[in-house]
Amino acid sequence: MKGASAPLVGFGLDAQHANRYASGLVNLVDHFRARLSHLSIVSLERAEAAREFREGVARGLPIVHHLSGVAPADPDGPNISRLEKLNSITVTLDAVWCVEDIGLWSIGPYAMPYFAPPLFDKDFAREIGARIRAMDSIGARPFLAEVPSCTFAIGNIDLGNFFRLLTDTADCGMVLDVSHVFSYALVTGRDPVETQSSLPLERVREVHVAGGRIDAVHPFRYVDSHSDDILPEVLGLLEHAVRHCAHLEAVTYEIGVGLKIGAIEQGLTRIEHVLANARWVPKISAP
Amino acid sequence: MQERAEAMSARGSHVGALLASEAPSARLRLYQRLLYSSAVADVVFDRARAGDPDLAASTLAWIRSVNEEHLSVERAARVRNLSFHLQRACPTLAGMLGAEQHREWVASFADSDQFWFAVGRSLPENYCLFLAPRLEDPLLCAVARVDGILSGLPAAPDGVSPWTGERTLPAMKGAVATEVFSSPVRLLTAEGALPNPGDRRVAGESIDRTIVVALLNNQTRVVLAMDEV
Repeated sequence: MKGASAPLVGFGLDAQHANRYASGLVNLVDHFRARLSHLSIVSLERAEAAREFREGVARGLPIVHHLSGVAPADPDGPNISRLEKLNSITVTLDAVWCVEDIGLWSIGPYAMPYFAPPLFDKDFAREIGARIRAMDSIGARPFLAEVPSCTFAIGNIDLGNFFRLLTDTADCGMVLDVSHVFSYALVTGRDPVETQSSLPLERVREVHVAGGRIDAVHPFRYVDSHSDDILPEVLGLLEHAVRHCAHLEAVTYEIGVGLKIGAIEQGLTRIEHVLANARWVPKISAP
Repeated sequence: MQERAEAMSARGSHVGALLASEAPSARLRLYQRLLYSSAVADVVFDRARAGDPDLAASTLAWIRSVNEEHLSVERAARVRNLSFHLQRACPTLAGMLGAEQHREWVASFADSDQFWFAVGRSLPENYCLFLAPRLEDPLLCAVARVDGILSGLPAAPDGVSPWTGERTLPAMKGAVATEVFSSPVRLLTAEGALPNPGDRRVAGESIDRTIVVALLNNQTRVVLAMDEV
């Protein structure tokens, strides 16, 4: 796939680990630039850093702004002051859209060290949807709701119905993280493809894919490390997604800091093969 | 013991209110607590198993649908993750406590009401505020206070200190905010550094000192100690 005419995949990057990526963030992107359709970035906290990212790293590639801690699914969410702060970053980045995993992000007033899956409750799905709809008046770009990683799942409805209720109420788009879908299927003992088919795939504008592993001690848990190889089951879900998500615009390969260049090359090539075989091309473009 | 009994009772009544409510938000808050607190989980599952009539019907059905094994594994992973997070945020305190004691204190913190009802300006400072009054060793107590302030001061430099209730005014040149307290131990090493376990003899020496923690313009944080005369 190297040297293919049109880039098919974007990279998902984390600014707080910029110096820990193989060869550094700028060199990493430059190394693969010809094969990248876009970049997604999380953990940018200052406008100056956002400007540096847009001008020094993205350099014309469309940007997706991955948010954290806005938390419309928190008990007291969303965090409006954080949304306003991150919105100014979104504007500086000139991002195409914003995305955040739907989950619990806080312990009281503090950020959780790692977010937790939401409570899969039908009343609460509608409530979160209404909150996301209200966020429209602040956000400069569309907010897409991402399927979260699930090492645990409880509630009175399943993932598919939860996201259908939520996105219907919010009338928002969705990011389908196929690794996260796999994690939910694993912990609930469901079939991964059936789980994915139950989601409102017609709302999906972006797909995330990343490496991970099944916990050796507790095989019902998926470790969403971003630094392992991509599991075959996850690539199977990617193939299913590109064939069934009619409005899919972008596929993002989320890069963990533990991945070496060779492993990134291998993962990217495997994703490109899936997309090329499906004759899928990205539609994402800068606003 | 009385303090612990009162804390358990307060927790029980708070969890009790959540269990009795039909509101989805109550289930959500209960879910959050189950993710971190084994003490809350024990209360919740015991009352559900006993068919407690005070439990809301929807909440009871919801609790009975929880896979307790999965929850227990999830909670252990989250407390491990929290322990790692607090170790990085409070390196001096974690180092002086040692890995095992640090993990035990973090688990106690996650079980406490203070974990949810914040006092500190940051989560690590809240942990230090929880820990400091429970530590008998004056050196560990002072280290907990310093690590807490080092974490809390940058989070709210214009705010009020949860340790003193006073504003953290920039009381020295080049500082954005400062916080001052009296220490009954030397605290710093002969080189003026924060201690590690090997410095216990020097840092733990009984001497009245004034400790100044300052946040500077460039976000650097410094700890100074002055002997009281």
